[in-house]
Amino acid sequence: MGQSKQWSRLDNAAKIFPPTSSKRGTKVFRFVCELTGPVDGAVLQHALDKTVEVFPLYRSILKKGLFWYYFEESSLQPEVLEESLPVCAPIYDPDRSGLLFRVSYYGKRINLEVFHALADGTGALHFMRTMVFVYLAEMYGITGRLPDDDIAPDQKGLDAFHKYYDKRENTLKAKRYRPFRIRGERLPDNRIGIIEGFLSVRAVLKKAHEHHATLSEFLVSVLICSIYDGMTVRERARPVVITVPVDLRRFFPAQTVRNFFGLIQVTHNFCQDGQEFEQVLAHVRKSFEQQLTKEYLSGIISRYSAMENNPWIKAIPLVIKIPILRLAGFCQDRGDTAAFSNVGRIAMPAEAAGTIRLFDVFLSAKRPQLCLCSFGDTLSVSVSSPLADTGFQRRFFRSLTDLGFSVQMVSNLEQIRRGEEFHAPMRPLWN
Amino acid sequence: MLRCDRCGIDLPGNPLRCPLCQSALSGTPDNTGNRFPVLNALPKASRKLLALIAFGTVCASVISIVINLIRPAGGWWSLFVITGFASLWIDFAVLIRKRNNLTKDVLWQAVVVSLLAYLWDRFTGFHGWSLDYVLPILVTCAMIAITLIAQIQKLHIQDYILYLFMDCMLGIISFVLIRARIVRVITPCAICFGASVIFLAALLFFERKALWEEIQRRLHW
Repeated sequence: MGQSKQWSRLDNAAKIFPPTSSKRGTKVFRFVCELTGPVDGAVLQHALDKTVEVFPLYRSILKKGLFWYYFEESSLQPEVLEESLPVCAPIYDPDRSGLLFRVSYYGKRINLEVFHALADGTGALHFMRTMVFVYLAEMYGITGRLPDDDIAPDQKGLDAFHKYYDKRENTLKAKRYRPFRIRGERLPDNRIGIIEGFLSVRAVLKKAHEHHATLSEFLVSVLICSIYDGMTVRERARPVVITVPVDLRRFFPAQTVRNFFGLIQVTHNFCQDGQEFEQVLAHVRKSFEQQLTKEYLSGIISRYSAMENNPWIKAIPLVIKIPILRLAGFCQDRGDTAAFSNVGRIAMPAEAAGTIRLFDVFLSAKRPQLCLCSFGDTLSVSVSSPLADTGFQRRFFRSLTDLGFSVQMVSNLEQIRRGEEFHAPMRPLWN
Repeated sequence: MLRCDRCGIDLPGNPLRCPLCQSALSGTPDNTGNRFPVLNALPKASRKLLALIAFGTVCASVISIVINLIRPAGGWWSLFVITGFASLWIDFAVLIRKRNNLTKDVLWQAVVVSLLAYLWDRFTGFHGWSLDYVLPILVTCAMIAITLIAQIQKLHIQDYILYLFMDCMLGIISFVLIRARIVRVITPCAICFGASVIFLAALLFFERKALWEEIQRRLHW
């Protein structure tokens, strides 16, 4: 009857994703690698097969136990397809066991879409880089290796939350505000609109340093100001809350390719904290400095883990946990205005870098979400939003061009509109 | 490259309008192509059939109520029609939802149909047919069906062992039913109990390790 199948628990942060994923919020994110030449599907398939062998966790399917979900090893083979699904289309279906990621290509782009329960941005990036590198090595005969491809298998699958959970740590309770929310008509068929802007890393960094800020602090401030410009006077009494996922590996050494992130929030109240850019930036910097400390983040790990390790909560059957987690996810969704996620610099060996134009990342979300990553001198700033209106994106990118940056932009909004017109010629998407 | 003068951005590929402000673009498109494919709207054909069947059952139910109202002699038989449709839909929904895992679907069918039969029996005078016949026959058939499906689909033991085990546990209930003198017709229950014990013994003798591992992973906390 064959070998017994390996299984593993979900890490702490992953537990919220299976019950809260839906058609509207699929909890799927996509990494894009745009090459200089067109992608060869067969070679990509070969690269994928090789990569999956190095990342056995990616062969997992998600199953339900009596108390928790768990990953089970499967013999399913991932298949590379030409892009034929909407961006960040649902991956996890409780009634159909399948792999928790997909790889597709279109033109010069390689897309890796991952269900968030499997990995976070940094974790999936390991997979993406390995796959792209194997692809390029085969395509262009590049030799060499990735700088960090020697992670031990047990380190890759490690639940880092479990490792750094300190029971004695104070659990902090963050203050909750009812934030301003951007509302509007949604795109048809639960589609996600993507607007990707490409800037020069050096130019943005220079500007940020002129303001004595880091790149994230600077761009979060620009984001907050561009949200402010779109608010009505009545709405301006409400705070703008930006959720910022923090890669905890930066503070707590871990090489896991699963989830290991914590959420911090920047809350800006225009009535109290000021409306000028400099005032916003000062406030954002202060929030970052307060929250990006080892003590504070350790408190976040404890707060997340305390719940999971509570014996009373553990003993609740999964069928009852699911609606509770859904409610928690629903409240969390309403708790912020937008999210800002910086994946950071993506390193590839010099031999391969010449054939890559850029990397890009974005996430399916129920409210506007910014995702950043950089490769070489290209900073990719992607805004994903389920809303048809692009006013907020326009204000954000116009503030960037007003600051003197040159921005290149691609988007899938036109493709969404054309796909709709094909089937429903009478239905206008833009009024 | 194309350019939106109002937003001050450059647009590679050949978009028709600026994604930010929808205004027309200046410049000439470069031939790098678009970065996203045009996708057709998602197909919705299967929903239509489902809606048609659902509409049909609602119509049939309403017609039976109307006839019942016009000719009230013979009692409220239309209630039977409606409950019958409801039972059918409940079972059908489970059948469709679980269709991707056949062994699981078989177990669910055994449970849901037995339960519906019990409720029907309970509220129509409790003649005992649901426990005498339906439960033991379904549970026994489910045991055989799960084993056959597993062989035909060449499933891994861990993909179905838990469902088989749970079905055997349901079979043991029939022994309780006999001993507690709840059932009047002994034969089906006795056969069901016998089959359960034999299947259970086979699992314990040949697949003890797999069973133990499956229980561990399903019950981890």
